[in-house]
Amino acid sequence: MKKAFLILISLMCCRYAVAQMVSPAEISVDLTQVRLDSLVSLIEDQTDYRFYYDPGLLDTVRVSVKTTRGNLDDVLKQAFRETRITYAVDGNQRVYLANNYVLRSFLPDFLTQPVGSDHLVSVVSQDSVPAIATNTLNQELFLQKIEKQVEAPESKIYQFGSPLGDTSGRAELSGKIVDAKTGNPIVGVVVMAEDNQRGTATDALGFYRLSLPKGFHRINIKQIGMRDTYRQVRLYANGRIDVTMEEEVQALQEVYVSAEMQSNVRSTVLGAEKLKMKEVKNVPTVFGESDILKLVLSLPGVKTASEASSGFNVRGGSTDQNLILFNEGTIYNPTHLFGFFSAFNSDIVRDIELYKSSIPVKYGGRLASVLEVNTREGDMQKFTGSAGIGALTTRINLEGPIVKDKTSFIVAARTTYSDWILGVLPEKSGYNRSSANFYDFNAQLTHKFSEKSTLSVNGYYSQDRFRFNSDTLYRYSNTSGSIKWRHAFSAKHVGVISAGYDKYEYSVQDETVPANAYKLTFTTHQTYGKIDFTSYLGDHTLNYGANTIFYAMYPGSYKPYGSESLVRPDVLNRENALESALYIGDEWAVSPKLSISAGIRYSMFNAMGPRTYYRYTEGVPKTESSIIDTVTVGKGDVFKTYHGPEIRASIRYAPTSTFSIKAGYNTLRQYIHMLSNTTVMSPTDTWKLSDANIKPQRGDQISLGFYKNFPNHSLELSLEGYYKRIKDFLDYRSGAVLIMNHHIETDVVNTQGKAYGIELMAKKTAGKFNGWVSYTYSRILLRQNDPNVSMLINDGDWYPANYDKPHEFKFVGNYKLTHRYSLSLNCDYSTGRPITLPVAKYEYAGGERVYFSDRNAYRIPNYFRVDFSVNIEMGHKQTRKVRGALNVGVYNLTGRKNAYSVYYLTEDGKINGYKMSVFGCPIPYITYNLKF
Amino acid sequence: MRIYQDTMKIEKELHTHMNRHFYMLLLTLSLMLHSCITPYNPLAQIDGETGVLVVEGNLSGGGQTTVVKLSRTVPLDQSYTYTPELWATVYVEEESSGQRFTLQERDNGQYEGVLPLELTEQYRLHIETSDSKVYVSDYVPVISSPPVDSVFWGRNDQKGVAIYVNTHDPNNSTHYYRWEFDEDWEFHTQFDSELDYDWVSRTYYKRSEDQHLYYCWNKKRSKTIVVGTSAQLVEDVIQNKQVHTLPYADDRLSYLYRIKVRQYGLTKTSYEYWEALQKNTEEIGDLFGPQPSNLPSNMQCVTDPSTPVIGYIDAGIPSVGERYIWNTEVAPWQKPDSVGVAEIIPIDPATLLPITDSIEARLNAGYLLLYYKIYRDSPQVDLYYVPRVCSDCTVKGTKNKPEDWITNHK
Repeated sequence: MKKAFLILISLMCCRYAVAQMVSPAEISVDLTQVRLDSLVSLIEDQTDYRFYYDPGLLDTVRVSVKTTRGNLDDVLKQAFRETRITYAVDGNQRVYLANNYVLRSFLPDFLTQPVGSDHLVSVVSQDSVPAIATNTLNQELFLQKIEKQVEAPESKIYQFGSPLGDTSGRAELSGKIVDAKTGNPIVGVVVMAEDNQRGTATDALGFYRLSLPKGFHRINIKQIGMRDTYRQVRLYANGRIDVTMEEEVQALQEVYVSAEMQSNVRSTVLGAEKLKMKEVKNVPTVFGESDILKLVLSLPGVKTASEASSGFNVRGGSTDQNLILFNEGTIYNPTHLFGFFSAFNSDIVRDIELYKSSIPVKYGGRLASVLEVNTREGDMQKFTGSAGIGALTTRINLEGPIVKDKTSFIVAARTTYSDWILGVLPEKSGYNRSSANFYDFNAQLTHKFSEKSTLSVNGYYSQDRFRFNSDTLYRYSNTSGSIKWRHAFSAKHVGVISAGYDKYEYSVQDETVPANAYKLTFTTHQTYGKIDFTSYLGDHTLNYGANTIFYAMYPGSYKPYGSESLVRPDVLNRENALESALYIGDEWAVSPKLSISAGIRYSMFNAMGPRTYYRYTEGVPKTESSIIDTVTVGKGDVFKTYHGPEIRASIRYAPTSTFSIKAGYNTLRQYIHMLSNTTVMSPTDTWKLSDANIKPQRGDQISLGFYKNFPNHSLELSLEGYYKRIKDFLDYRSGAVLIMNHHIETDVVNTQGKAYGIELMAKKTAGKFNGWVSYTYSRILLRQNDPNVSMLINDGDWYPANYDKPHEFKFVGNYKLTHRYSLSLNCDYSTGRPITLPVAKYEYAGGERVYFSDRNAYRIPNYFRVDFSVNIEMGHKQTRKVRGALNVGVYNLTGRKNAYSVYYLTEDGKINGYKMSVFGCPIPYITYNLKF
Repeated sequence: MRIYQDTMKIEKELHTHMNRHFYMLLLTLSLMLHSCITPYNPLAQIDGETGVLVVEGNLSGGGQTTVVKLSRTVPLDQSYTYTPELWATVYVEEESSGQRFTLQERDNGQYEGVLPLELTEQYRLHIETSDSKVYVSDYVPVISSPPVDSVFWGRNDQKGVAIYVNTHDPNNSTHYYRWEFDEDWEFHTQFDSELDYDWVSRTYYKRSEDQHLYYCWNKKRSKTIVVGTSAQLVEDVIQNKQVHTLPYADDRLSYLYRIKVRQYGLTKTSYEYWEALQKNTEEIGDLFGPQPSNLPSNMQCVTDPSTPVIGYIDAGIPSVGERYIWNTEVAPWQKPDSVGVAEIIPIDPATLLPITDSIEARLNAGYLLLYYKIYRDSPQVDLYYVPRVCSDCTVKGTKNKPEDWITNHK
């Protein structure tokens, strides 16, 4: 580095030393705003001078010069007067061009940069040469030493337009960011003007678009797992810079990068968390399976009713209030094996994004959150793959080009050999004489028609089977297929059009008694189409579009199984509905300090025939005796419509570049409900569409956040608070029948909810140590206030929901010992979940009965768990064909017997309580992953 | 560089021994996963809602005795459950006339009376406890249950006996039913003890007919909740409703068994109460099970509305059906274990005096005497000692024969 710097200095001296020796050959030129190479070729035609420069460095410079019979010095002085180009001529009539601006700007920067910043270092000492998409450098023209420095695009000044024109107002910089290795676009790269807090992120096809005041800017480009870079630009007209980013192979801060930090303070979004797969891989999990959903659970504001349970609760929302999108498709059951694993194969997941508060206007249909899971595109350059072997699962993925740089594929599969684990489960769990297996399969095909147009086709299938004690077979599966076309209609208008189909089904087959053998099935299909446009109009970024979902749900079919069965077949009415929405949102950068995001989404739900439903007497509880009419609806006829606007608004004020305050308000509507009366999500939970008797759920949330970054320490702090209201949430009467109920409306109780909380988080995004620590105080209270229902839970008073855990402390950390070894530690503490306990006993109807406390009046013991793992990267050399990584760890290091469930047994006339811990001991694991 | 080499070594080793490591891991895991169930008694810390008044009863018409049982809840860790509520003032009030019918306190917290209930009226129960709290039920209609069509039995899957009820309401108005039953059974011991011992005179004497301990009776009240509905049917018909089962070889069917089924008609809310009570008792504390909750009572404490109260008061005229089952009907039915004769001690047939004097010791040890002539014409008698359980039916029952019993045994 020092050496390189010295060479630069000596070059500068050289230029001044030889500048006086210009040969007086005569040149005549008359050029206006031409590229530098036009001038050069003209001079080279007329003289013996030969020019040596990096065309990539100066290709955006426009020069104007008019001279008759001038000498080289005159011509060049005149041509370069508006620029910072310097030149030097040696005795052999060689002219060297350099950009003096670079040199001048470096020096003070270098001296004032804080220690530890490696931005400048990388400019001067870049050893590996990035391939530059736009660089057509003829390397032979250059002396080897010079070549090394000026080749780095970071040292180059891109110029668009002329400073002679109107320098007021704004211009737009755009471009595409791709991975040097695979050629694939990189999504979510933060592109940020260093001096004025303007930033954006690349979209799904790697494009960015940034509106900036005219003038000089240094544009920082950051992405997790990639080497940070920057570009310098003199922006006087709209211009395009494409960037190729290199993987950060040996970087110390492999796990987290400052990208998220930037967006934290600067975006208008509240309560959003984005996680990259790299973050996921080092977090210890049970059985060593890296699992994105488990990482989601370690974020503040996300809770789960119990360890190893499907579903999660976001800011007091129930498990069915999360929209889980996997490549646009909706996943109804996001877990395998009773919640031990998530349904997503981590090998092909690119990133996940969780919206807890500011839900983008393009999403809707659920009250609590949107969890977006996106898979990677296949490698456009070469065939690669990876595989992993763990204690319970094995997985493999393959990817590669079909047509290089045009078409690629990626496929992944995962399966389990988990039967053994069931054998060691406690007898009382009822699972230990059971068998279980699952698998899932992903495939994606991507085709780039051009840089502006990309098509991708996705397929996903997952299936779970488990047999409880050999008589009852449960099965469920998610199927999802989608096609997505992204097209940039112009530099300012980008559209994404997608369509797809999702299916979720489950079945229960019980053969315990041949006469009663049955098969119970539930299936829901949804077909959807989405159009989404983004327009970049100066300070405004508009997002608008429409989407529609057609649901066809078969809520239940109960049929005899086997020839001896006497079961009377029963099939519930099919439910059809159309859910549509139109939306428009504007993100308006009012000033560098203030930006506003506001949007409206108008959603409409049409319940459609064919259908037969009941009408009930108004104003009295809906019971079978209050049925006054049976209505039959013809095929395709709409019999009930709900519609309404949803508001999404947020405002951000950033008094300094490292501190901001945000506030947001949004309203949401949900037309599909999960029917579940159990504490955790269970495989037999069914879904129900709103109809004439079931109202949609509505909710709104107000939130406020404070964000402070300490860039020098890669530390970011955030404090968010929220208050949320939920209306017409479905709870159930005592003894409600949820399965095969022809009039579920008689068993549900419209419930009101209120949730509030504060989430504090400190995140260290880079360095040897990185990770986050968070504390959350939150409450979720429910109240049955349906005037039409007698027998209200807790007499209609507020009670905590099952997943109300007020205090929560989470720590996720990774310490990089060396390039090869790293240590990860996970801590999780929370208040125990509420429980309804038997508090007394009495005799009634000849038997001993139990008197319960109020609903959820007590709590199970507090939850605490520490996990630890050591990650060993093997074969770090890039030349190695196969690179392995070994993950050795212990789940629940302290062996605390956290309660999974609490139950009671009558023994000798006494009622005794027991708690069952699923992972009540330290569980060691080892996983081996390889990449080829 | 060293680190690199080391890693290489580890990697190589892993490749070779992957399988072995893997199985070792599984073994460790399975060893460690055991014993994950631990006692958990937050219950002990809960001072709890003990002492909540429990009201159970059906206000019965049709000349039947109404019994209202009052008790209090007890802490879970008590070994007893029933704590009767004594010295309460209990009456039933008619809605239209306000007329009151007092229920008299019998022992053990039971308040009884015969109520002249009218089918067109509604009634409520009024309780004033000794702590001066007043509890009042909602007014409830009097539902007259249609007659029980039949009580019959059949074999169930495990060779036991299942008892079924059929009923129907020609008026199509009942729809919700609950059944209770009383079981009585007559049984006899293996041996009929003819002699008893007089501890005062220290002599044997022959038992009179009603001193025999051969035939006894026992009874049981139903402990399970049996409810049923015909609401989903076009006609108000209940068919083959199983109300009870007796496992194979059960003592109750060793000689003669009778079940008396009382059938109550319910309102829908009352039906839901009973159904929920049944579910709550069966499924508690299971994570996948439904959430338990307290059942709303149709009684309130009017002096202090925040005082909880348990129970649901119905009114109605139950109908009764009964069925006798002889052991011979269900044969083969394994009898209770027979015991051989324990010991034979000769006695003097003239004096009936023992030849040895160890009799009293044996009696104290729980044996009864059996007097038995071996030869019809011979004065020779033998005295047997048999265990009490084989010769004294009062070990397992009482001599209290039900009033309306069909045999004339004593």
